[in-house]
Amino acid sequence: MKRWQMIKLGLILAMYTIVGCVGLAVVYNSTSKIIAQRQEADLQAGLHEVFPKATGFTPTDKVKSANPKVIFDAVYTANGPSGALGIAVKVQGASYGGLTTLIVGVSTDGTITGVKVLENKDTPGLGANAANPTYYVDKATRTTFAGQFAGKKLTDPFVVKKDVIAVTSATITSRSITNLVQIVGKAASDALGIGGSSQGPQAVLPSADTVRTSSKPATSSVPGVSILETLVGTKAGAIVGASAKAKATSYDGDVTVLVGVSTDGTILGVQILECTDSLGSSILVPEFAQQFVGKKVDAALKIGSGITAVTGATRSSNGATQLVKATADALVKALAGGGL
Amino acid sequence: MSDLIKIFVAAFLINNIILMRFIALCSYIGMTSDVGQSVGMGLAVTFVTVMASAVTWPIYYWILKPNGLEFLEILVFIVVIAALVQLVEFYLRKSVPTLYHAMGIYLPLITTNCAILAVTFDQITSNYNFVQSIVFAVAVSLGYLLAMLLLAGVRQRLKNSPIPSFMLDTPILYLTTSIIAVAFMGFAGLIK
Amino acid sequence: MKRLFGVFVNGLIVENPLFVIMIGLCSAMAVTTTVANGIGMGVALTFVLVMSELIISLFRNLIPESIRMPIFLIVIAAFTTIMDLEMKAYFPALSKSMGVFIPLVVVNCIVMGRVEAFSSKQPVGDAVADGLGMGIGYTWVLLALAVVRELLGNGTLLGFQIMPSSFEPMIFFILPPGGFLVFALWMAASNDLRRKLLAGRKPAPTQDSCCTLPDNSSAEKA
Repeated sequence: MKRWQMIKLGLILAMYTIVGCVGLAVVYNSTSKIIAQRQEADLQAGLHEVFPKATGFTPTDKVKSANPKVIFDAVYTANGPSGALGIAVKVQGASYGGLTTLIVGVSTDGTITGVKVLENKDTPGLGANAANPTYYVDKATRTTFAGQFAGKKLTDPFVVKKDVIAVTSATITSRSITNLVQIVGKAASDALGIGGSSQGPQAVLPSADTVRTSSKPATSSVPGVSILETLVGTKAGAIVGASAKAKATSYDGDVTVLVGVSTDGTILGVQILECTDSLGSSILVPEFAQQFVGKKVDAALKIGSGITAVTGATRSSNGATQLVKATADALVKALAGGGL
Repeated sequence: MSDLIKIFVAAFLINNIILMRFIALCSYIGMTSDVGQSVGMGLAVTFVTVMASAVTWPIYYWILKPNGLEFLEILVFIVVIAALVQLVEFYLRKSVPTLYHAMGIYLPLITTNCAILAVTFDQITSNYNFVQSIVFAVAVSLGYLLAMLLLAGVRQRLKNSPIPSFMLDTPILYLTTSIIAVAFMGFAGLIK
Repeated sequence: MKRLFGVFVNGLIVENPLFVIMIGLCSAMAVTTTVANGIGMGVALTFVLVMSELIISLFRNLIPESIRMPIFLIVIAAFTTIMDLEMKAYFPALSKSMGVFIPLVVVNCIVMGRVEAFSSKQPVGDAVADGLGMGIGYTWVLLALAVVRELLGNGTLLGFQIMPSSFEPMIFFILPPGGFLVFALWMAASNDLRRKLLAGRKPAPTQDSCCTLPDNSSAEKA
């Protein structure tokens, strides 16, 4: 009797559940199409906002995110009446209150064409103002936080409170969004093949007229540092210096640098190529790398003595400095050893 | 590792579930008239939140998502949590009577405690993996316990304080909470 | 008809869910940073409340006593999901800005409390009137909170600039502490008014099963 009662109750419960689930499935089917259409419309509107002159957008896969924590949801080539205008990327990355989604447009001449915040879960009244179309970081010109990126050059430092105006009391949100815009800018400019002249081995060996791969790679004795590529710079046939691309783990990601050293042990040039630390990409500013130039390799290259950390990215700055030092040491050793 | 620490600090202090996110306010007011009671409730919530996360995460990623049934999330999660609470209560009463007396009496209140459900939804929307989900669950519920304990402590003093008559009972508690929340806003700078 | 009206009005003031029964507070404070959010949440909750009360009252004789709780949960969860999906489809901006508080309607004590205490025992007409009354009672309190918070915290109402441009918004009011403060003050005002209206007659304290232990009847009254 008791068992019979249990089965009966179970059946009743199952019936309610089934009716509920079927009802939901029906509603889901009818709304899911509308939701998908709406998201598509939002995306299209966002794309047209960052590229108002574009006649159409074609999906492309030639731009890849270098940072596993930053996801490129969709990448489009913006087509104009006469060829491509640039690249638009829908990008997703962490901000203060959760994931934030942006559309970033990069033009073929190396400027940001526009930034549109699609989704932001930060504090209402503070961080959420980054997505607010009536919140102006510059009231005089009625510029919104996202709006200030339009027309910005990719070679700019992208540092909040320097060349990027922060949303009041929301430095973290401002930094995260700036960081995402910069990552997209860098990836897009690599894909578009722009800004190449200031990049690469030539730039860190300015005194050389030819740069060739070394016949004997440099090696570092510092654990954790791996030298990916060694190059030798020559002028009129004589070796004037060497450069190396090296990688090591930093705060919670990796950092990759390019270092050029002259035969007399002076650092000729440094480029921070990549930093996958959270918020670590702020050390990609040229000013940080510039501090190393002209320093002697045997000098104390440390944060606090001669090298200043990038505010908000002390651990990453430290990691990059140690890597530059290790790479430079390895290059001096290789140059002294000869046979390059 | 630093990822997990960040999740922990953010969920425990910076985005404290009660003081910053307004979730689980009923029990926050209802269960803090006594310090012991607030600790019991806090521990019961911690226990159930962690268990619920350990169950709902696999359900979502192994059953609902592969079959395109994400829209059943709310229904499945609430039913699973309710069933889990029943099971835990049943088990504690039968097997661990001492523990049942310490926290089992709070279990019936927990099915409708929004903190637990909020945690399980947050884990899905934040794309946390299993380990991150568990750390998040522990941090949120400890944050809950901390807020409960803070208010319970203040309430001990409030009993003997001269309170303007129009602020008596609940209004003064929310006023106190407002001041505690101001203090918690200071934690926002802990993570860059 | 008069009886139904009485049931409806009951939720507006006498047994207002937020000020008097004091349940469903989480969403009330969390979403009221703007008036638009407040209206959205109020409509959403009213929809779930009315529909759940309607269905449960309709089937009240087909719900066995011993498994009533799981059935209530399923019905409420189903309507919450429907409301969530409809919001995503037709009011995506609103749905995004309310975030997790939309699905959390499922554990909102107002819904569970009214279903359990009222509609599982009352005829359909009364249940719907009660749902509407409670829902609107909840919504007007949300509006009261949101108007103060948006006006002082942002200088706007429903997004339109109200305050003169020289007014510097007091961000405090849209931050969590401001939410607690505004609620505390509104509640103090409401309590004071009620005390005067009742003039000594103490109303029977309303017990709700979802926030306090049954034997813990506000020990602090003394």
